[in-house]
Amino acid sequence: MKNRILLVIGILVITSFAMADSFYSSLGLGLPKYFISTKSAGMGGVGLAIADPLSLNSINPAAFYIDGVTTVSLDFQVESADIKNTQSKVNMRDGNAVGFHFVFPLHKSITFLSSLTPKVISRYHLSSQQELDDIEFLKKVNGNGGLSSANLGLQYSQGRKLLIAAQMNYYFGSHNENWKTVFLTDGYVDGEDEITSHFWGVGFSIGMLARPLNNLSIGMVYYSTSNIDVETSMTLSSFYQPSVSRTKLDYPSSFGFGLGYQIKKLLVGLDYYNQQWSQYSVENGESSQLNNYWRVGSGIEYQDAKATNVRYLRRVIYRIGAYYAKLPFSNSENESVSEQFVTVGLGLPFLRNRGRVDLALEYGKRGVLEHDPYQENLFRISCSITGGELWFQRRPR
Amino acid sequence: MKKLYLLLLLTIFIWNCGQEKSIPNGYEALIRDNKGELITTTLKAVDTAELWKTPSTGYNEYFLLGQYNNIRTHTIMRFYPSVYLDSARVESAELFLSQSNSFGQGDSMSVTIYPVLSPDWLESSVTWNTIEPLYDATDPIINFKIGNADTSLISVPFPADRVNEWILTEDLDANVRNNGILFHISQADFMVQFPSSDLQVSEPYLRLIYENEEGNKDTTDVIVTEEATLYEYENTEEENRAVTGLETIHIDNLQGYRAMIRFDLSAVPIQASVHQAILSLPIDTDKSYSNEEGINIKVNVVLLDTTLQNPTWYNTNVSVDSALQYLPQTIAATDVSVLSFADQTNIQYMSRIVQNWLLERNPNHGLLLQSSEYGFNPYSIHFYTGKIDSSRVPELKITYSLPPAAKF
Repeated sequence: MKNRILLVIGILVITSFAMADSFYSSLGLGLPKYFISTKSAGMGGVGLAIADPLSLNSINPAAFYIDGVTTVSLDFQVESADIKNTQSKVNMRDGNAVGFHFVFPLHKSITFLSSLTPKVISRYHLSSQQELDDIEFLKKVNGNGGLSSANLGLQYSQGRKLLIAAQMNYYFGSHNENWKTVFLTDGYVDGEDEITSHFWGVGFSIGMLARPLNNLSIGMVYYSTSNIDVETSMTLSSFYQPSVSRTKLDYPSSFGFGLGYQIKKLLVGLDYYNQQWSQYSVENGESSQLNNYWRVGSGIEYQDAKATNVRYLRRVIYRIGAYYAKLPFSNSENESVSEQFVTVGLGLPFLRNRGRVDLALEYGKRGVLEHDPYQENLFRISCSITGGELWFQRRPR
Repeated sequence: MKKLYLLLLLTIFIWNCGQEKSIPNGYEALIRDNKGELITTTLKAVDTAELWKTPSTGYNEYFLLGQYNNIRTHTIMRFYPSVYLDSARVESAELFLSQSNSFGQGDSMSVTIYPVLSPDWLESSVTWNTIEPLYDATDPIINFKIGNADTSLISVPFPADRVNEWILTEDLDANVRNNGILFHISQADFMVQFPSSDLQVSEPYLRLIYENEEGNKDTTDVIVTEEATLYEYENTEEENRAVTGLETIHIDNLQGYRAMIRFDLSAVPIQASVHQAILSLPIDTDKSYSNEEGINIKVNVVLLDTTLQNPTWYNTNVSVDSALQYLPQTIAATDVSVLSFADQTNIQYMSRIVQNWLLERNPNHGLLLQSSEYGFNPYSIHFYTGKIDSSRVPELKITYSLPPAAKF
């Protein structure tokens, strides 16, 4: 029953995004959202080669096994950002769901996959007080939106030695920009214009996880380029109705690979991921001025005992990690803006290990004030709830 | 565990109600082809015209008697004493008129009251042309003088038999009306203003002394019921005919002049959002005439008469957009050199007019400026058209912005 509740709540909340404001998200399509799972977030974002029945993987659809258990998970994230430039600083906060998964076994070795995940997020509040010929006014821009992906696919497993998966990804989303002119000088009429763009498109992804050795796993993933349709409409304070504009943009392909190595009670992971944002372009619009996004992360997980008859604290999972990423955006010196994070996490099993709550804390920095227009100090809290039940299973007679 | 899920959800959503702070200098750093910058442009009138229409004769708060600038004004009036008395037993009557203003030089003028020969005139439409053949110039009722004073109460003895005649001839059931009386001016050097029954204060009245049913003397005041100013112009051929190419255009309360202006908005893009539109007109203070109270001027949008074969913006049947609920208006006086519709309310109304022109909801056929006080006084305001001096021309200053460039 609780899984059904999770399912309903997940569908209701998934349309929102979790990210505090970032100036960098006003560039291109927005900030790439790289999130595998909360377990992964506690391990420096590592997870392409780590399969965990209680941690459904948002990036590599092959990297989990559910052992015939219908599993649902919801991921939440809250982010706080201190954004500063050379003149001032502001703090912004936001939070919401960042992933929803529902998977169930079709066959002993075939699993049906479905998930909703954010891919790109754009959120910014900008304002400026200006003056023109003794007219004082405020210009405000609020941008909000992004691109999400609804994924449907199948995973095939040969025991735990080899898992391969393929998904169809339906990309969808919107971006809304609200522009306001508020006059501080009397005798003027304020203005407000709203620009809304809707996106949709299809792509595919394939993933693989192999265990050449019992304690070594290798994971790989590839996402195809997707040609996204964009439809933009405007609502203007002048009441002029421009025609709806239609265009296409290329949502770039990506690939990644990772390693996972189990040493007794320790699990060590290492990931590399790259998205070809230099290929991003908008038909009849801006040509790509973005760089490729890449990140490398590493993390460690420790669990003292898995047995359900031991003291609970021994079953708690501890995680630590770090990652470094180059964002698609360049500074004035044509260098990519980078971010680096350190992470910690906890896994709290419940219901005799049939469910788990994962928590992760991340702290990092995006941009360097000496080179980049903004430096953002970020603090993130992630949480996921995963649970499973035996559905569609015939009880042995 | 369910409670934990719901608690987490609730926390997230409450947290999600973010305060609206902005990224420092983010707006300046935002790269966009067009960020909706403000643009100010001042348009000069490309066309001007004026036309005159005889002001409404009746249903004005004032009526005029006298002469000003070769225009004579007479007054027609009607009392209904039968409303007050049911039998013709008036013994004496006195007419009272309250003078509220005067215009021009001169000591006094002579006024003669004549009987009107037909009852078939309406306060809303009667004109000098219709009454001129309908009064008995051989049967003056009374003659009196009016002095040149801003305020004065005039009392004139009025023949009681005339009043009794009205009572006898009126049959309220049959709706028979008496014919009324005409106040006629032959010549005068000034003009006098009187409050009318529409002002509902200090209006003309007849004080009647009569014998009541008990056989005693009693007094009653009969307030005037209908009155109208009758304008006698030297030449009416030019009425309702718009004239262009003048050095000045003017608004005249006595002759009913209206001014017309047109601006060319082709330099303003159709998608512009109008934040401010200010109309200003330079005043020729030498030609203008008013007191410190000035003239209340309203602006309306001209509609093209498409029934004409070759309609122009200043066609003779000038009509205005009566659907416009909010009209810019302001007081024009001669103590300033520029009339400007620059207060917050007028700016909003004018901005709306310009925005509708840009959107082509209303085609741009210019503006009509008229007085709200035609027939109140002989005040006039003259505006330069720029024909002689291009720096003295009506202007429309527009501040607007274009929509920002879309991100995609």
